[in-house]
Amino acid sequence: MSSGTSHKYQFKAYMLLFLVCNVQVGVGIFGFQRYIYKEAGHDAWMSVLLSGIATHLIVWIMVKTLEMHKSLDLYGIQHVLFGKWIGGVLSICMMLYFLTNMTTIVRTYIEAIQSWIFPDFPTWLLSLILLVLMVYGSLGGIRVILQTSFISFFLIIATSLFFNYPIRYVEWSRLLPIYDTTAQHIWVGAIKMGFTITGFEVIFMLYRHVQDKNKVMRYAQASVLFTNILYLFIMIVSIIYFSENQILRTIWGSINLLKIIKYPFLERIEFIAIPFWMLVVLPGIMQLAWNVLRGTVQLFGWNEKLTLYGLAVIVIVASSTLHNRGQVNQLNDFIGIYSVIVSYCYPLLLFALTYVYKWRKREKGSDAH
Amino acid sequence: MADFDFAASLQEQISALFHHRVHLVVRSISPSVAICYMPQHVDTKQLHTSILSPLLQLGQTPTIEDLRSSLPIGEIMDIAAIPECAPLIVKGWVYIATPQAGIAANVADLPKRSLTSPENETTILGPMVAFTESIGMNTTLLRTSIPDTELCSEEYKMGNKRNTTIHLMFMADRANPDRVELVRQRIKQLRLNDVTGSSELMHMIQDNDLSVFPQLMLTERIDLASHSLIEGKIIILLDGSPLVIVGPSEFIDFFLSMEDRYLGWGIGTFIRALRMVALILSVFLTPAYVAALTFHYEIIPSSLLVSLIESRSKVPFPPLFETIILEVTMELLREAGARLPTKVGQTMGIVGGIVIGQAAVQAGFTSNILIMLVALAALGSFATPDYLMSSSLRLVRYPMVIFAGIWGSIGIVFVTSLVTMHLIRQTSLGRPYFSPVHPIKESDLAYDEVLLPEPKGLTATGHRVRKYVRSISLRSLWTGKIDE
Repeated sequence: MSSGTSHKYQFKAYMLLFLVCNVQVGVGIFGFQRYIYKEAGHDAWMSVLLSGIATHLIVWIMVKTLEMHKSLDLYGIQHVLFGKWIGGVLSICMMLYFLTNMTTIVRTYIEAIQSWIFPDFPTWLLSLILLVLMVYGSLGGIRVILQTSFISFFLIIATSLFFNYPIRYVEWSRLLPIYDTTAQHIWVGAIKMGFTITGFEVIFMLYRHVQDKNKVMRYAQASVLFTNILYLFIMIVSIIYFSENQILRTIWGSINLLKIIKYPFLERIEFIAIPFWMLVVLPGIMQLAWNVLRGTVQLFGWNEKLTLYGLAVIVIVASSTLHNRGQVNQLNDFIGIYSVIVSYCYPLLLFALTYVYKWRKREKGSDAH
Repeated sequence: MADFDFAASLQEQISALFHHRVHLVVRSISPSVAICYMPQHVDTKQLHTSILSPLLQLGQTPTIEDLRSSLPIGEIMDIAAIPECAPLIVKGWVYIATPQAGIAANVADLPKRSLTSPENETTILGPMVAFTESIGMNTTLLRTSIPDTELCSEEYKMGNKRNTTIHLMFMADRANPDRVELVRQRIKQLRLNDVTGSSELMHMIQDNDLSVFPQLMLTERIDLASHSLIEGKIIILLDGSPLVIVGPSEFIDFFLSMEDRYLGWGIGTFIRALRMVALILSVFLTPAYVAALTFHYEIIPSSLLVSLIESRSKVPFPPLFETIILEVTMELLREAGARLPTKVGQTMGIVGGIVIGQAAVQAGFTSNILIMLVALAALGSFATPDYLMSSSLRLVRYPMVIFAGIWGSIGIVFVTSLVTMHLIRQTSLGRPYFSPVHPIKESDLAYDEVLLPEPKGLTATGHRVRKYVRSISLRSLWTGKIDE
């Protein structure tokens, strides 16, 4: 079973390429354009670029922190740095974050299905479908997560190729004039990318299972780079494809881009893309569930299977209680702020504290000699 | 009088073992020597030259040593008690008895099929020899195919009545010892009365028998079996079955044929890619029809939609019902075609093609387009080289069609995800069964990358092809044949 206490499940570093970007590219990609555009106008791509650069920096800091702690994961690091009680509370906060993130992903995906394909599909049934699949996959351990995220990686690439199609209808001059806003707006826009771009904090959990740890940096950065290029590409296409009024009123920007695609035998690609996006969403929520399970095992030693079922029930109930688009938006805004704190500010703190911890340990060590 | 008594008592004793209901020949050679055999089971010529004539030239009371030294036969066995000789006599041995002790000599000529070309896994360019029902012959074929001392075979007996022989073969320097031990344990743990076919044995020793997908491969082709041995796989042969079990197998192995290698890398890769397309068509085509016509007619361009609606206008059933009817009909045709004698087989074509195909449309039962799609899906599933796998894929199509009818495209993706994750979760002899990306190292799943080649996914085909080309260009310079 997916027991993480031993080092049984090890994988090569290059698999981070699929795992990390899979959690990042979840459902945020459906409609992130509007939020950024609202802040930064047609320079929104600069915000995306800025948040991408920040992400690279944070990933560098994360991997450096992990390298100093050798084979610990996030919960272990918190235990070492903050002690049993504060570390435990922080771990619970992290688990709640992963759980909330899971709920948000599930609910937003369901919202997309209900808005585009089946308006009358009951929320509880859709979340049941998703969570049944999640539980079935997670029972197979990280091997299943890994292989499915590999499949979804190709699905993401295939889907992003479709975004070439709208380019024939674009107005390039919409990008001009470049830098027509203030630095502050770009900054706020970058922060709004929060929910869309986060997810790379799973590196904290995956690191200890990587076999060749010296290559983690390379592949983690490559994975984040892939996501950044994808987001930047979609953002630019959206800016030049939609008019200003249109983009601000388009909730599902990326899906609208797909709508225009036509083939002699097929049109309305989004009717195929949205359901098949389930294969991208699934490994993401499976990874988040796996992260929570690592925590409950290390902190409380709970039975993994029962905890997994419990998690699934919580997510089904939580996502069924959100009834309308407004509530989903609120949840997205909330998780956006939460995830900026968890994925950008918190790693910085851990990095600094690790340095202090190492320094104090060295001091003590030199005292003893 | 004494000689008569000896032969008669021998006949009495052996015949009693068979409840006196058996045809035995007991011949007295001299007062103290008699032979016993089953007439249809032995080679008469060899019996005369190698047993009867040397024995007749011996003295009146020869010892066991005399008997042994006079017989020009390789396989001779000492028999301590008479009941021991019964199974040997059935197998075509001759029991030579003296009042003190006895020996058995092998002059068997049992009925067996001669070598034929493969019937089910045909290739155009490959070797034309298939395995037969005789395990001895099969082992010989494999051994002559790989005349290497590293090729090991272990013998097991199974079932208390039939006492079937099972051979476990592997290359000692290539197969993973842990995996060989795993198979050994699984064979030893089997407790059964009767096992007749390798397929039955395969289901008993595969990792998860609840899965509809075969986790071990069955083949009648010698080239595939010997190639698998060299790849480090394990072969299980069962007496009386012309199919051997090959393991560990990966999902993708079931879609590769030895023919692909003979065709050269270009055509071979093209055909493999074609089979992948066939796989996708056979699984997704009819569910997509159901989903599109029930829920998502938006995805069909209006010009195409017109002809679709036109052809469906006379059909009174919902698409789900219509598709299920036609799929089941297709399956019935296939099953009936497989069971019918070949002479009557032609009827099937007429029934299937004309009566069901044409008449069903004219009667307004189904639409033309659906008939085309179902036929295409059937073609796709028959393009799979492995029979068990193609049956499994056809089975997967039913839940997919049903869920497509209930939940539309969500249902299709639901079943797709479930099947994909199910495949990923399976193992074949402890090795990952379906791994689009190279499997992670798990201590219990460890295997040597050098010995077992890369997983042969569509993406890995390129890698395989490169290896293949290299092996042609370098090794064929002195070996003249292609091996990896």
